[in-house]
Amino acid sequence: MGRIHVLSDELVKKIAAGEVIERPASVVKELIENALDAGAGRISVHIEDGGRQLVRVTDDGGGMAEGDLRLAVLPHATSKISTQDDLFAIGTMGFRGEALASIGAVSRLRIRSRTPEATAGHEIVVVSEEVELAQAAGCPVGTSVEVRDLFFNVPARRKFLKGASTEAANVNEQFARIALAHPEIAFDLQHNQRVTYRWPGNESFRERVGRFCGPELANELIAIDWEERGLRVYGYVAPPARSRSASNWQYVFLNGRFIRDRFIQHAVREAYRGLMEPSRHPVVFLFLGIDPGMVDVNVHPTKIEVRWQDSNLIHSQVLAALREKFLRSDLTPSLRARDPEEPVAGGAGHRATRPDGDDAWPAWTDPSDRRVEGVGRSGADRYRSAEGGAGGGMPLGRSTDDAEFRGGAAGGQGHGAAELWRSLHDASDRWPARAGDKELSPPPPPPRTRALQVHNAYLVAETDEGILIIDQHALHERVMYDRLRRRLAEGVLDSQRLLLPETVRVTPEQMEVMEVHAELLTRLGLEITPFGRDSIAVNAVPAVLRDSEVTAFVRDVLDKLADRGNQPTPEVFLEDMLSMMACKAAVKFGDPLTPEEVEALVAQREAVEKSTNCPHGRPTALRFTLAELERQFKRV
Amino acid sequence: MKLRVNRHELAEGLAAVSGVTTSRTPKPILQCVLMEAQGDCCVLKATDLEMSVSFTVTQVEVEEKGDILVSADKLSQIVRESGDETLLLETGEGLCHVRGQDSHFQIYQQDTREFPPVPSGGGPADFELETGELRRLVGWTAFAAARETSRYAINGVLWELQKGHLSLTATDGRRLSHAEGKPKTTTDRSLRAIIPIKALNLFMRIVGEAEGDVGISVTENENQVVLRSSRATVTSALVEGQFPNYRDVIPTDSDKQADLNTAEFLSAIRRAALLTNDESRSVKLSFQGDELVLTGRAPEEGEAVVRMLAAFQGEPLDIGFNPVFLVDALKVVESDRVTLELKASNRPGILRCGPNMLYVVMPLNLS
Amino acid sequence: MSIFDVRHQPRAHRMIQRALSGNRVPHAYVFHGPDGVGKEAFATAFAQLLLCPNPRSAETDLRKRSELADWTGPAMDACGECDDCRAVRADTHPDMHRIYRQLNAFHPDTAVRNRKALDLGVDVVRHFVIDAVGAKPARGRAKVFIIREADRITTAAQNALLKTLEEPPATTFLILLVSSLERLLPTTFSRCQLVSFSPLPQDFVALQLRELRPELEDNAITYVAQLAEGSLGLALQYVDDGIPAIRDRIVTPLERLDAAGGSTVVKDWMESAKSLGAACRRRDPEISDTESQRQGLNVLLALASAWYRDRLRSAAGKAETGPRATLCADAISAINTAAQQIELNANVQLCLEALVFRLAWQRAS
Repeated sequence: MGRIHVLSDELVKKIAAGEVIERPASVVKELIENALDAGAGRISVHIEDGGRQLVRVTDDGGGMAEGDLRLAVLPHATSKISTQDDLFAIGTMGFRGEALASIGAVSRLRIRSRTPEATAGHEIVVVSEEVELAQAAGCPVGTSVEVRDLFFNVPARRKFLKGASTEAANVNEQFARIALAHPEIAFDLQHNQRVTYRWPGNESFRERVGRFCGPELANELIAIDWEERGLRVYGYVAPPARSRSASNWQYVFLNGRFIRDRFIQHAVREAYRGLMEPSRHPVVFLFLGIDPGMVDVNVHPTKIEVRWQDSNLIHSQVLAALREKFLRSDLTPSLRARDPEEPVAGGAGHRATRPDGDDAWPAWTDPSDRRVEGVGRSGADRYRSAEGGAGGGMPLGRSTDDAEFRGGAAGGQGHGAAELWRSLHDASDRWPARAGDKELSPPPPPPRTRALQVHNAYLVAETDEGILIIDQHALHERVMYDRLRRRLAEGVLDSQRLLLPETVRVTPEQMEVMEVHAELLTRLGLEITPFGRDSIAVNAVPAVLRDSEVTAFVRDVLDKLADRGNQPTPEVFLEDMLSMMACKAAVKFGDPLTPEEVEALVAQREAVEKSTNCPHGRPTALRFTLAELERQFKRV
Repeated sequence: MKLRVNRHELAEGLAAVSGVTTSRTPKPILQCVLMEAQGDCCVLKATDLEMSVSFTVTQVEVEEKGDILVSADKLSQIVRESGDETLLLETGEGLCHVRGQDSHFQIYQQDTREFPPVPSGGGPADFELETGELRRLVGWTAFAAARETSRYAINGVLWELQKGHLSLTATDGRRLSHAEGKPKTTTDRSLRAIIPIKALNLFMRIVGEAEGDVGISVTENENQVVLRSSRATVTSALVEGQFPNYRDVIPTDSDKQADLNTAEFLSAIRRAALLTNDESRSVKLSFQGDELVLTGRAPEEGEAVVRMLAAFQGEPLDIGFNPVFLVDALKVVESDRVTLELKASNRPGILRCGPNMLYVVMPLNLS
Repeated sequence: MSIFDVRHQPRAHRMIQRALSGNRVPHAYVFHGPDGVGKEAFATAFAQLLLCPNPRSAETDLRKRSELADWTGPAMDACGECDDCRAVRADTHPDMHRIYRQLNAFHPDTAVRNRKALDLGVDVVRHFVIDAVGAKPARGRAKVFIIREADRITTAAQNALLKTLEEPPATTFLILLVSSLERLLPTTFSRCQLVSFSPLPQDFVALQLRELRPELEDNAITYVAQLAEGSLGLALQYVDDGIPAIRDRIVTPLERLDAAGGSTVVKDWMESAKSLGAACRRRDPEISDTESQRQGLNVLLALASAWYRDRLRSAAGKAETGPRATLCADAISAINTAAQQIELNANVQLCLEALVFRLAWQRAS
């Protein structure tokens, strides 16, 4: 019996029906997978006109005997599965027999194949499902499949094909998805006789990934390898600074097959959270090794989606694998400013046409201005007083706000660290003007103008090497977030008891989660008790929150806990809440700051881990070196 | 209308009314100031519909009575930049002419009939206060009021007048301050009105350090308050809602008491607070015998310990407070000594400054 | 304006009058119904009634006019003569607050001002609603907040508003105007009284059009009134966007549609949709390109659909035209499908192509 069997009816039904051939890229995918199954050591792909005219895949694998060749073009023929049991332990790639048949139905298909034992090969030509020619032919061992004029007989489908360059990009993507997972096999891809990729075999994953993404990124890749509870997660990920604006640089392979999976995407996102802007996407190449019995790959016709037996396990393991690595890696982005006149390196092949976020991404780095730090570390220097500022009397300004009272009242709920200082030490009080306790305050140090606030939004600071532009909200949020996190690690957050408890109306679900998660709430500094049937009383709140935000914060907390669709782990939940608190408590983009507040904020920058990004992942500061400035001003 | 006015006087008046004009409003007419020339003075009026100010400018020679309605912003700029001693203002052909020695500005006038009515606050006041007393009462309370919370009632200071006795109360839900005072004159009327901070603030700014009396009255429908000094009248909508029953939250069961030197206490808190930050802003107060130990701790920066003498009666107690809350109150204390009454580390403390001023403050949970 | 000048909304009238007569007027309403059927006019008249110090019982003929002949309870109306009534009419009443997303341009915070007003955001709601609710009425009786396009209120803004909806001061009334209930959170919705508004009768729309746009020809009026599906606002918008003139360009090709001419039709339609979208954009500069294109397409598809409906109607009752009726019905359903797809962000060009070829194919077979 030949190696290809026609699947039994029962088995055919087991396999989800559906068209697999949509465009040249799907042809490429099916053919490469067949080649892999044939045990090829080298696979060549050649396309013309984006694959619309020709797709040819040649391999040096086992080849097919004459009988198999005929059978191959029948629907649901496959050499891989004979019984239902096989379906549940799928070790090979293209178990769906319909690939060649489907292709044969919509194109002019020519297959040449020769087994190693045979002295000659065979050739078969199929046009619109009709075998037009079958004959012996001279050819090397292996199989070569030519697909011409895809959809020539289905104008409606042909019409929906995109331009050659788009289709070629799709082919490239499909090619990469498979070739990345098989560094042991040599791959090449040509478009209109021009080489897009040529990758030798017997490579390591790292070499293969490096060839794919270019040497610059390859050098920065971080290796991941983690194995626990029957799941191995390995591969390479790029540092956060190498994030992209699109998510298509996330390559995840399950047992050698490219998949898209929202659990894994979410885990990756979680791992990068706080290191990168939310709108950016990390670059990852992850390989998952798992017992095939723990996953159903047969839920989508193109097998790109899978169903896990235990999705939580997958999520937690991927997250753990990345987290563990990140905690041990130095993620500080390297200093690299792009000269506007420096030509943007045009990547080879289709990569140049990709939206490459790096070009739009200014460099930043950690500040290391020791002088600024000095200001931050010395208690006396940090101390600032508004004495000698506005005295009493009626200011003639047209201010309509209530600045007079702000020193006092807003301080209690206030934000900036420096505002705390100001409200604590502001002896002049502006209104009503009072002297008297001035002698209690140490004399203010001479004013420094190390940093300047612009547009009530950014701080510009001088450093030894140049200048630093800081996003005031992002930095302050970052500072707060880190400190809150440290505080939480030690126990519970400072909690302000309320003289007048706030009542909040809640749903029955919220009421329930409130009781279930009482301990978590206490750690955040919230003390909540039921208050009647559908309300709660808030008796104590995290001390960092302004009072206008308390109700909204409580609602957010309860919503998050009651969201059944996305139950976070306690750690994830607490981190989410800290992010939220830091964001609410930090100075806002647009808040005017006093020079003292500016200095205090700049000074804190040094003390903070990850201070290059705010908890949402936006950068907190941009750095321009003197060298950079000189270049921009054409001084050098 | 035609008048000659002392420029400094006019500038002062415009600054006073500019407290309610805003350059950003969907109703452009509210960006204007109305000038009414009458007899020997000129009254400036502005409103944002919630709050109105009228200010009487003296040192005016009115040659021709009448009204002008012009952009407050533009007029203020002209007046501010001018170097003249006096300015001549005159209307004609839809324009307002402002003439100085070497300058002549023409600003477009708006139709005065479209300007919303600004109450002039005529009629006798419900009660009168000396400005010094007003400053004391407002100074002790306004800082404790809440800001922009959706519990509307606490976004202002509660004024209560009953049987010739006046009290002011403000709270933000975490601390509460209360002051009692004596009006100079009063009617029989009992009042309970929540005056928005914005209005008090504006009025205090206009009153400044001036001496004399101010009159305060609430309209019959109890929706508006009229604050009147010798030159200015501020009218404002009162704050909606029921002020919490504050008498219930003033503890009566405190069994520990510390008698403290105001200046030393303030200084000690400030110094202990040097090593706190936004995320852990608690200062621990440990009372034992005659000593008070204040501790501030920021894990990133270190720890501060400050000791002071305290005449303390009762069982030893540790209690945490947000230093800002204590400093807010201590800053406005005028007496040399204050007393702090306590019960337990999770119960409110009361800071007293004489018989007429008290301040209740909730502790922080010490972690 | 008398509240009874709002016509053909007897349900709304009955609900409001019942609440007034029981002296139990809820503090928060959701007025729900298609755009342009009188929700805001009704809300304004209702506000006037709440603000007027001497409301009075409406005269019988007024009630009749509002299709309230069967209402036997008391019917209150504002006096229409006092200062408050005049101020509401002039839109200058200090206690009537009109809230709309573009108010962000007047927010004290620069960052808020510089934002595009695509939604009714939390900053606008905080500043112009929540803070304003905290002040007592300037003139005494009440204060009313009419929130336009409340279906574009963000979740954050709704959450901020909850406390106010829960416990509004006794003098405060909030009216949320929505054409769709989808974006209202259950927590918002459950705190409001729902008042439903219906599409207006076509004759009434035509009558109003004749009055408001006297220059229009009769057949244009009939056409637009029919097209607007009971929305006077939409009808006026169609007139102002020049729909009667554009109409022929869009529907004439339908009469002799075949596969060969299909591409031309699609191209024409894309052009027309663009210019219709531009008109929408002029009306509301804040909306995005995609949104204006979508609105333009909606108008276009409505025109096409109306054409088939028209033919369906003329075919009705004639036995020999059975197949033709089926054809029209199929065409209408194809158009609806296309509209849905476009609503779901499908590729516009492809949808139109699919639609046109389908219409052509139906005609041919």
